[in-house]
Amino acid sequence: MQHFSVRLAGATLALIAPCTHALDLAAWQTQDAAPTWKVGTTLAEESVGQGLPVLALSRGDWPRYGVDTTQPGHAWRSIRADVYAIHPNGWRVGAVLRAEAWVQGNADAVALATAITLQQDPASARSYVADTSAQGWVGRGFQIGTPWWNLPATEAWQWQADAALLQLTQLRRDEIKGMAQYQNGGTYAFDAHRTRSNPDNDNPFLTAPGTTGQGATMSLALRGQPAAHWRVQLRADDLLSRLRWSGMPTETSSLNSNVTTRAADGSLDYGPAIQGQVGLRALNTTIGAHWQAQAAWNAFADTSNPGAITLRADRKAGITQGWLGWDSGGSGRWRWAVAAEPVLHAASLDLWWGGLQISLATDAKGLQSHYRRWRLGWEIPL
Amino acid sequence: MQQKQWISHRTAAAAMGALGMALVVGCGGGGGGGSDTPVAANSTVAGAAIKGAMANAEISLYKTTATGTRGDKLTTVPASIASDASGNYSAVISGYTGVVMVEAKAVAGTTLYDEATGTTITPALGFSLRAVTFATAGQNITVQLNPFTELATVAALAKTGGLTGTNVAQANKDITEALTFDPLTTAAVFDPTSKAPKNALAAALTAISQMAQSGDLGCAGNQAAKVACITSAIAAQGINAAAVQVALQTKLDAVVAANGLTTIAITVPSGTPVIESGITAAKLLIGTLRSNIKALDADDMSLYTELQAVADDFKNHTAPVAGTSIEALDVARQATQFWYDVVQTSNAAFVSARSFSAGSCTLYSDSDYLVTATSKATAHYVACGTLKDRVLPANALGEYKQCAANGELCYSNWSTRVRLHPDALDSNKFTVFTRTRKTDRFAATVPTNGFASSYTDVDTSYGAAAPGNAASLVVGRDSVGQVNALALTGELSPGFTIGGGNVFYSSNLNRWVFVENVATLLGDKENVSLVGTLTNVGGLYTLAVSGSVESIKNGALETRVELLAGSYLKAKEGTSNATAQDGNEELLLKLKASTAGSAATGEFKVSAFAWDADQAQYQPTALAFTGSIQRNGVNFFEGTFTASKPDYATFHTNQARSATNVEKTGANFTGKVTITNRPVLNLQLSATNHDMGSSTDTTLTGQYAQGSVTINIEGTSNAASNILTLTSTNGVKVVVDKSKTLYPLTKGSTAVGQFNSSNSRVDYADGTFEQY
Repeated sequence: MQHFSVRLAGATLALIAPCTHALDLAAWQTQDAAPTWKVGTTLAEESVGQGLPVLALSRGDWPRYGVDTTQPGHAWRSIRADVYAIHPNGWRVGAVLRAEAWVQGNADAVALATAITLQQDPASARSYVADTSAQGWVGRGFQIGTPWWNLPATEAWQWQADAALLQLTQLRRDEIKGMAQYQNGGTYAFDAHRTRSNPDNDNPFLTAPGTTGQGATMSLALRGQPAAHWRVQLRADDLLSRLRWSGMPTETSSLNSNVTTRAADGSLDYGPAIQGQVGLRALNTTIGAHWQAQAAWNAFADTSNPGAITLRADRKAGITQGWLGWDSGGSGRWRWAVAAEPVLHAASLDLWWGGLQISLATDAKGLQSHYRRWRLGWEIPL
Repeated sequence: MQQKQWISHRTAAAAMGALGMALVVGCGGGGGGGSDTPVAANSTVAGAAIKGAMANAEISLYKTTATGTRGDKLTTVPASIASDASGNYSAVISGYTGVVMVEAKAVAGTTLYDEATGTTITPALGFSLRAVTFATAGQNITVQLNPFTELATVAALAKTGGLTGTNVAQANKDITEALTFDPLTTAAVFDPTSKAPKNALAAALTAISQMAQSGDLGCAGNQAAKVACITSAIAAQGINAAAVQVALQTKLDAVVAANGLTTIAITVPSGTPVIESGITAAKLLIGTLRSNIKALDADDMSLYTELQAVADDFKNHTAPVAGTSIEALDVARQATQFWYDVVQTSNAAFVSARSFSAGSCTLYSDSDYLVTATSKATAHYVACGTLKDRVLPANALGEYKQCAANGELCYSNWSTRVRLHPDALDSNKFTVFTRTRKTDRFAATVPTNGFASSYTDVDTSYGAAAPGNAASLVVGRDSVGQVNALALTGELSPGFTIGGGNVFYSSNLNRWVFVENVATLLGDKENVSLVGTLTNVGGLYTLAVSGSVESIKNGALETRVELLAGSYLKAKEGTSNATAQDGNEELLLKLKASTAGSAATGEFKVSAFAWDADQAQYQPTALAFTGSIQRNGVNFFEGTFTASKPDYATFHTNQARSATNVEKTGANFTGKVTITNRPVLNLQLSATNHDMGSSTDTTLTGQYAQGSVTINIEGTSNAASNILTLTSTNGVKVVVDKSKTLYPLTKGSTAVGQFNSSNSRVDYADGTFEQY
């Protein structure tokens, strides 16, 4: 986790920009420049769903917790732990543990999965053209972040980069595309194809599947002061990334309900509805960029009241959020910030006390939630 | 998706799960199938019939039988195939996997180019060249037809098991090794102008032609006859027969030398057994099992569907020979005997009534059966009734509801009233009137525990109006007046059944529920036409019965049962005297039962009556049914089913079953099952069960053959293990150990796949898999 300070109309605001997923990009933290090493640690989790109850997806009756079958569904979850040290000149090094998963499906896929999961057939015959994919991975490694460097010929804008090398202990990818037709009477016809990569495949005839993978990721950030009392930051976490797993057990299969063939003698042979091939392949994929844009406007423009109105736009895994908030600012030991997301009906609260940070955000819908975030951070100067 | 087949909601859910839907729908497994319009997996079979070019030959493709011989002709597109001027042919078959035999046969107009003479000759009608290979649905194959493939075909046929996949592969491998090229897939190349051989096969065929011209191997006649003779001789003797090898090698050397070809040295095949791909064999085994299992479970057309249809047919149609009707007939017989014994026997003492095991009879003076006869002179009619079946009242749940007050129903009696009107002219002829009666008994006094001390009875009669349904009964008597023959023609009142009671635990009520029996009336009436004779040989009575019984419901014929001549029942009088029962009792029914959609025809035999070791129970220990079950006029199940209780004489029914007091049963089935749209399944199963009280030991052995696949079955189930082993004749074995979830597929000692019962998935060693 890296920190940087910006002097703004007497107030010292710190923009916290984690190198991935920016779980707390809305937080504004007072941060004095420290001419010494700092060490810190963070633990964070974020779950976002659009049209899908992200916290209930592991349940067998997940559609009961709120699903929108009229639009594409997206869900994304991330858990991350960091331990880091920051050099006085701004370079940051650390160790990171990340776990991330996402799933997305078009409206037909969501509607079909909902109908079948709940065993609630459509009112009449209909067709589905489903397209869904999912990915999950777990990795650990080290990361390095640059200081903020001025852009050429200007001091109003600065850029910064982070990079991480990861050893993957888990990587899964699943894609399914195809067509389904519901015919009255509780029957479906399928013609679908699936590609599934999973190192836990226990096929006994696979020889020496890979046990680990490799990952690399780079993030870029740009910040600046476009006008008085304004500060903005644009950030693309995991802008460039690569996840690779050699010797990945990969299944390609097809589901076709058209299982019968007629032999020359007129008899019927029944084939399997699902058939496929499993083999070892190299899986190359990416994490998917997390785009963030945020701005802070010092509302009172004086040092006695450093509070600022904050705006943040966030897009990850096909899900866009817009947050409007207030940050108390200030240089004392206490600081707080609140924000709201009008579409998700979510609110966030961030508290800083010295080097400790607690961040909570939720739409308070329990298992029907479409958004939940929490983060714990602790940082001290040496 | 060009064509749709529908799978059930349940299956769809499982399939979706199996296909992942990953984080969206979680886990699952399974799949399924049904069918609407099947698609065909086409295979093109192409090649050339060459010895030289065999033009205008009739080309036929055959599958093989379970015994390894040539089977039925495969349907091809085009339906009729003829080779062209160069001997080439091509045909498309659909959906066939298995050994295929291709034959080119000389018919009128067939010609053969002869390389040795350079002329076109006319082979004798019936001259043929064959080849055998393995076809896989959806895969195209090349099948050349020449004397060497004919040789391989003869060799495969001569092997144990005939045209199995392994034998065919072995024979083709042997000829390939001998010739150093594959005559099955290698096309012969001749110079289009000079007809000179341009490759090894063409050279070898030219050599054969020259052998014919030279009269080798004792062949004589014109060139056409000699070519046919040489072809047959090579095939019969084999290429490694000294005479064949020497003659062929000599001519071959000359041909290759003359045409500048590479020398071909005929060699002795290595004899190394061909190893059919274990994976291919495993897929064939699984495919056969899968198709049959799915056929059994499919919603649209299946054995299960057919069996269910038959069961429903007979279940939903009135049983024409209800037990109550049999009882009525027996009462009628007893009534005639009563009439004879009391009224027609001059010196017999008069009694007005007689009871017997099946009911009772009373002599009356009037046709309303109100005035009991007091003498032979006043006895004009016999009125009888079968024993009454009691049905208790029930509440809405079906449980017994005691009558608790005056006027409440306490129970109902069901019986058949049987009345005999003796014929005025023929003492052995009677008119039998039957009516089915329900008597509801309402409490006339305050009942206690559901029973009153007096009742008000309300009768309801079924069948024709009084006096009832009429039938003509003619009896024959032996020298002492006992009935020894009868003929019954006419109508009987409808039979009825008492049943439907059961016990179940209601989770809603949190207790067991005991549902009472109910009475069910079977149709309007029964038409009967029965003749029977009763003989007594040494105390063993044999009742031979034939005729028919029809159930009429709503005025229409619903079910008909025909007892063919030869049906009989053998029994002895006395029920508890062990010495009287000598095991000669027997029941044989030659049945033909039918409804509008289903029919069952066959012989049902119960025999080998025996006492247990305690002499407490006397029962048949052998049961057999031989016959067929038809659906819509088509046999789909025919064969012999037998069941037995071996060693019954040493089993103590009064003692608990134990390791030393074992009740043994056995069952066998041999026959064939015809599943709609599936190849005939020849099935042979034998099962034994040893009940030892706290444990049972069951064994199962058998075999089923379908098309070219034969699978042996062997299973045991006991306290220690529950294992079923299926072994195909091509060597693949799957061991289903119910204590495990993974069932290995092996060929020899090599693992070629495994079945995972937890997700119904088969993984093969080549990485392919299938899931259900």
